[in-house]
Amino acid sequence: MRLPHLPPKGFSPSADLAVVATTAYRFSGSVTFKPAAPAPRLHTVWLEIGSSLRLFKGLEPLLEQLRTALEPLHYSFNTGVAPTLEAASLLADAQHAPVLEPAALYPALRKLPLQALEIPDEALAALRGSGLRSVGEVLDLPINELAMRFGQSLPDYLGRITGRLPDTRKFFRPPARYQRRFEFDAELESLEGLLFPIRRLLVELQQYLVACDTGVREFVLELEHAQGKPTQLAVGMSAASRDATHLQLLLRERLERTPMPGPVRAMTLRAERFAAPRVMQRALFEKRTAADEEWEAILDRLRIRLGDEAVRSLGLNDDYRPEKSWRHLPAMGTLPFDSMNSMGTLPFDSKGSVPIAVPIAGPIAGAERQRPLWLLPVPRPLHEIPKCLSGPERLESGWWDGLDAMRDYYQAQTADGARLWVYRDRRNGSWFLQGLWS
Amino acid sequence: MSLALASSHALHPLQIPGVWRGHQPAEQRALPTGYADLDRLCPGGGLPVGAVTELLCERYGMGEFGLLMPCIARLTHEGKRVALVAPPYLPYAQGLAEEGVRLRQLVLLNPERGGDALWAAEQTLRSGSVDLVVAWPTRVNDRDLRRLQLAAEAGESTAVLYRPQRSAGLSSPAALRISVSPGLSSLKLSILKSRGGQPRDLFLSSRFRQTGTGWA
Repeated sequence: MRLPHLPPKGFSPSADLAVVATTAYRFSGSVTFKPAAPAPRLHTVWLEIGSSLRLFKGLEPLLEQLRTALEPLHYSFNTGVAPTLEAASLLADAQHAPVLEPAALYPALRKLPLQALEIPDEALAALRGSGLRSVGEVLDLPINELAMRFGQSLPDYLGRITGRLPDTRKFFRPPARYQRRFEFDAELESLEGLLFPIRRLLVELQQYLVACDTGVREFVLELEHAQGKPTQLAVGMSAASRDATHLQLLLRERLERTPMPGPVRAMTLRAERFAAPRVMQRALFEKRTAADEEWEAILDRLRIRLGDEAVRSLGLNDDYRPEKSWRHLPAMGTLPFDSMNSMGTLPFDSKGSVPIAVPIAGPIAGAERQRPLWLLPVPRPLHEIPKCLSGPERLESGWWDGLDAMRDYYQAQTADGARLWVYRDRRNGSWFLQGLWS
Repeated sequence: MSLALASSHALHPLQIPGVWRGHQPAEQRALPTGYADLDRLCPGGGLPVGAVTELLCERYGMGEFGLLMPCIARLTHEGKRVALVAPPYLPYAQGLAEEGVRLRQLVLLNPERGGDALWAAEQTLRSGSVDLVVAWPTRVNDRDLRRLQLAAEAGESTAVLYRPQRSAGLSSPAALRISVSPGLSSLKLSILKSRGGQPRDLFLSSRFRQTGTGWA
């Protein structure tokens, strides 16, 4: 495949080619590429497709899918198909029909004009000066004569075109870490201005993830400014994804909430934590529903906009002191729910401690609830003795960590009908409001 | 390449989301509250699905949250998710567990900014992955209510909003509006609006509660 130029400005050509090569990697396990040396020449990416034809059900479907995959990257390119790498380049330039059989290659090459050959201009001029006009006429020349006149590199090149000599290029492997930098021509001040290049970077990341058959759990966008430290935007997800649109949504939420110290002159997208994306896990966990996937997506959006601290779940602690008898847990995606057993045992919490059993039997019939539904974050001192309805419930604990409590708990009622959960500190007799019965 | 556009035909008024039908058809789905007397008076027999329910109360701590406990306990046990958005106090895990709530199915959203609470409620309602969204917004206007109503319809989820008593006089697109106030050893519920039903008062005490526990 031949790419005449690689827009937009701001990327380095070889990094650009690596993106195309990564995309091509989906279609072939053997991909290699060559940046054009001086500017107006063409960049080249090669794919070995012989072994992919069956998988893609033929050449045309494969080329069609390749074009579709490259479309979002906005490169223009020609494709050429031939039994050798160099010949495929020539046929791409000539926009020649695909040549699959080695026997058909020579007749196809013969008709190409002399200047199709990728050889130094001096060599081209000398050949033309000798009256040669087509590739076929050059191929017919004796190898020894060509080597004497132009050096060994010309017959070697011709040999690689026809397949007489093997092509020993190194094949491309997508890197294990993803990093892509983009420099702007002018500094960007607005969020809107950033969104287009960000979209592009994320589409490329998606191509990379698809090529590597993986998804990303966490990625970082670093925005560089003329002065001061770069702005880092880290986005973590509850489930790995390789959907550029989803990633963009999350990044945008974060961008809108991050103050920028100044205009942006360059940005780098980095991804290191990879995991199988949802689409692949689905096969493993058949029970997952559309609602589960929606839940993971919405959980990410909530976390991005509100912050991890604002999106949580609750757990129980084995402590008599009410303020220590519960804890916040990170809100969970869907997998831990599936793996919960029917006894209602909690999965391991974030610190990997021992699971805690939660009583899941319904309320005991006829019994009053022992604990209120609302708790004050910190017990509030009461200045007058409340009107107590029931109690006391004596509570003594915590001597081991220095936060010991000696309290008598009561239910109390206010004049306007609210019921309070109060306690008297037995050490000094002062009263506190700790919760509301609701 | 030619591009074909599907012809768009106008929606029948009954198909437009948010258009209220004079006679709500019988298929209104609802989440039973667990109180038979209350469910009988609610559209569809409980908190209507795909709609907003308002609970109006003057202060917290007199049974207004306990009113939802049988419903939340049942949903979480069925593996459904329940979101609590901007609750006025810490929901006490021990009390919830006593009510039989499966804590892990509960998500607490505590946005720092008031406007984000409505955003969070709307997003969770719309996503269709949370069956019940209970929110304590600091301020909510008619437009917010309509947005929440549309989000609940889109996600086929149920929204319950706690609002102050003084908003009882304001018009609201909510399908169900119940004023909650403390009665003598019971909870007084005034049904201000029930889509397809008549306003009336109701006293709930522990004796009417099917699941058994008393008001606390």
